[in-house]
Order: sequence, then structure tokens, then C-alpha cells
Amino acid sequence: MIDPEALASELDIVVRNVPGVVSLYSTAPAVVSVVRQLTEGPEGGTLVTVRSVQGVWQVAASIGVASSVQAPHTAAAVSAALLAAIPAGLEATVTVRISRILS
Amino acid sequence: MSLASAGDALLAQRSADGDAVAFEVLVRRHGPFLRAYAIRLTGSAADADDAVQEALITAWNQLHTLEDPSRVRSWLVSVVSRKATDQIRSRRASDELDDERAEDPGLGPEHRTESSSRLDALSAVLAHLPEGQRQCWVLKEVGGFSYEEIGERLGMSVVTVRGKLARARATVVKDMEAWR
Amino acid sequence: MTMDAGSAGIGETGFTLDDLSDYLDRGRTPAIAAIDNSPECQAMLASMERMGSLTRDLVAQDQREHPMLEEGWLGGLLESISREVRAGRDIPLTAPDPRASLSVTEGAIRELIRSAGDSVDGVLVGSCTLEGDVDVVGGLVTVDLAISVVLQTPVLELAEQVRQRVYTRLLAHTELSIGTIDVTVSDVHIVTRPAADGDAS
Repeated sequence: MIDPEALASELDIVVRNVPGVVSLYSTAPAVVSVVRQLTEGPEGGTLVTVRSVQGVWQVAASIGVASSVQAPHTAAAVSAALLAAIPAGLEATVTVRISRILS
Repeated sequence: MSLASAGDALLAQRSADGDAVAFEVLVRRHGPFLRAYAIRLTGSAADADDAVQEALITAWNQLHTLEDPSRVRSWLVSVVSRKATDQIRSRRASDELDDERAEDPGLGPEHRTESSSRLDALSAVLAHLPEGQRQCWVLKEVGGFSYEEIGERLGMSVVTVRGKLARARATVVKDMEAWR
Repeated sequence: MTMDAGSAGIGETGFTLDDLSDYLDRGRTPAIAAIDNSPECQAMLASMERMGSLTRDLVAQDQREHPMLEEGWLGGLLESISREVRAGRDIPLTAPDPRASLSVTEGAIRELIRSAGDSVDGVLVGSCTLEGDVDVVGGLVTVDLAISVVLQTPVLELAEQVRQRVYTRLLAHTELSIGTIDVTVSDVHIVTRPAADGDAS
């Protein structure tokens, strides 16, 4: 059985290690994360989110990228790294959103 | 060119587009006035800090609704007024005997020059006004609001606002007679 | 001047302090001759106005005595607002794998455009908007931006530099087809030198 929390924290590291990625943001909307802070204590959790919907693992990451690399390349590299890091045999989709391009 | 030298309208537009740095410049530029105004209005530095912070978060989220970005300062004053009066009303709900509450606003006379002693005198007079009168006075004279707007903000009828303002005026004019 | 309005009112006009206060706040319209012709009423109105303006001076003085915001307070505020990023629409990017969907937010693109424009010396970008088919890969969009410029440099030249830099960055970081980039100069300002030290204030 896959532990989504454990997988998410592994994927956090995978994303941060992709060249061109300079920051990783929470994918949850601000209001949600504030509520989560209240109910689950301070946000020490993961930024990449992982959830299983009807047997399909859905992975989402929101990133800031360096303007020295073309943003679409970085996004594609992140999605490839995520797909490669998901244990073989699992059905999965990944969503990568670039939220900032930093010079 | 630095954002610090940019005009209010440009900073307001950029803030509305999500530029947090531009918003910070606006806050540094107008925050000290907003805070001074809120302290005079609420009579408490702690309440004022809370009201101004809440107001600025609201402003950040609603800046895109501001039609004329060059008027951002007076718009911020109105948002701060709303938050400060909300606070006054909720405090009133938990504190029935409010009318004689007259805290020193916590702005000591340090570094004052001779010429500002008239302002010190006014500060003392305002601090001793009944709270409702002082709020009406500050909203009118500093915030520039109409009786209707003040009434709506403080949960009072227009007639009550008019009465409080007139009494505040009478007291201020009388107590400041020596300084005129 | 006497403060006692009594039954005869201020200056025997029959008008009370409340009436005068009201009259002042109505902007002294419609004009009431009895008030306008009474020196006592005029003196009282002038005092009321002076106290109003003195109150504004008082707040201005409070502000001068506390010209800086407390950094901890400011930090808390900026932290709160930075968590509420205005992302805008999602602009899709080509995904190399059918299991992936990639996008860049409109907020990120606006920030990119602002920094491209600001990188031209003497220019600050004001508002910027993207219009067109932002929600399809390779969609055709037009960009509208307003800039503020310093007077010294030829304005057309600055606008052209902004257009080129914005175009280059959009080409690098999005897959949109860039139609026109309209640059409007919304504001021209003259750089003023700070007053020399020793100036009387």
C-alpha cells in the first residue's frame, strides 16, 4: 500500500532537484491552507500534493522557475521527473503549474 | 527606475495585478498616516494596528475593484475606517460602559517643539471626549465622511451623529479657547 | 465670544451650536443670511473649522513622530498577502506525455512582463493585460501595457525597447502566439533632485 504523505515528501525533493526550479509553492488555495493550519497545526507538510481518485494517483506541483531556462522546458522536465519517480505499475497523472518566473 | 519613486496610481495598478513589491511601497508610504488616523479613531495603538493590518489585507484582495487608482490613498482611508469601526462596534458589544472610556492614545509628547503644544492640548481634549463623540469627530474631520456614512459605520442614526458631532465641537471649541 | 447660546441662540440669531455645526457640514448652503451676517456666528464657524484643520494637523504630527512602520508588523502583513497570490488564469503548455498537464499562470506572465518592461532604463510598467486565446496551447494573444517614463529619454524609443523585451521574454517562456504588443505611455515624469541639505524647511 502506498502512503500518500510519504510519496509526496519524496516528490517534493524530486521537484526541487530539477534544474531551473527555484521554488516550490503550496498547491492548496490560500484559504484552504489557513484552515489546514488551524486544524492540523502549522504547515510542516509537503508542498507537492498526492491523492488517489478512483485508483488513479493525481500529483500536483506549483513551482517558481528561473528565467535563465525556458519555462516550458522546466515544466516538462518537472513532469518527466515526477512520472519517473512514481512507483512502476501505478496509474498516475501529474499537473505542473508555473506560478512565478524569477530573474 | 525604482518603484519607490513611482506615483500612487501606478503602484495601485501593479498591486491590483498582483505585484506584492508595489503594494509594499504603498504600505510604507501611506501606512504611517493610516495608523495615526486609526489610533485617533479607536483610541488604542493595539486596536489600530489590528484594524490597519486587516484593512490592508482586504485592500490587497480588493484593489482590482478600485476604479480610479490615483485615489488609492483615500480608498485606503475608507477601508481602514471600516475595519476600525467594526472593531469599535464589536468592542462595544463586549463592553457596555464605554461612553466614558478615554484611554490616552499612547502618543507621548516626546520630541515636541514649543509650537506643537497647541496640538498637545488638542490631543488631551480629544482624549477626554466621550468615545462616541471622539469617533464621530475623527471620522468627520480626518476621514471626511458624511453624517450618513458615519451613522452607518457606527450603527447610529444620522440624528445621533449630528448631536454627538455638535457636542464634540462645542467641547473642543470651548476647551481650546485659550489656544485660538 | 460667549459660548452660551441660551434661548436667543448664538449672537441673538436663534441658531444653536447644533444648527451651526450642521450648517458648516452642509458647506454653508443654502446660505442663511442671519448666520452669514452675524459676527458671533461667523467667529464660531471659523473656530469650528480651525479645530477641524487642527485635528488633521494633529494626525499629521502623529505620523511624523512615527514615520516608520514597525518591521515585525509589516513583515506579518506582507507574509499574509504573499500567501494570497493572484494567479489568474492558467495558460496551458504542451505536455510531452499524455499523463502530464502543464501550465503557467497569468500572474506569472504578468510578473514576467513587468520585469521585462522595468528592465528598460527610465521605465516602470503600470497595468498589463493579456487578451485573446490564453486558454489554448499556442493561442493568439495581444498584450496591452501602460508604462510610466522619465522625461529625458525619447519616449518612442523607450516604448519600442519595452515592446522588444516583452516580446523576447514571452517567446522564451510561453507558447502563445504573440499578436500585437500595445505600449501606452500613461505618465511621463520628471526626475526631481532631492532638495540640497541645509534648505530651510
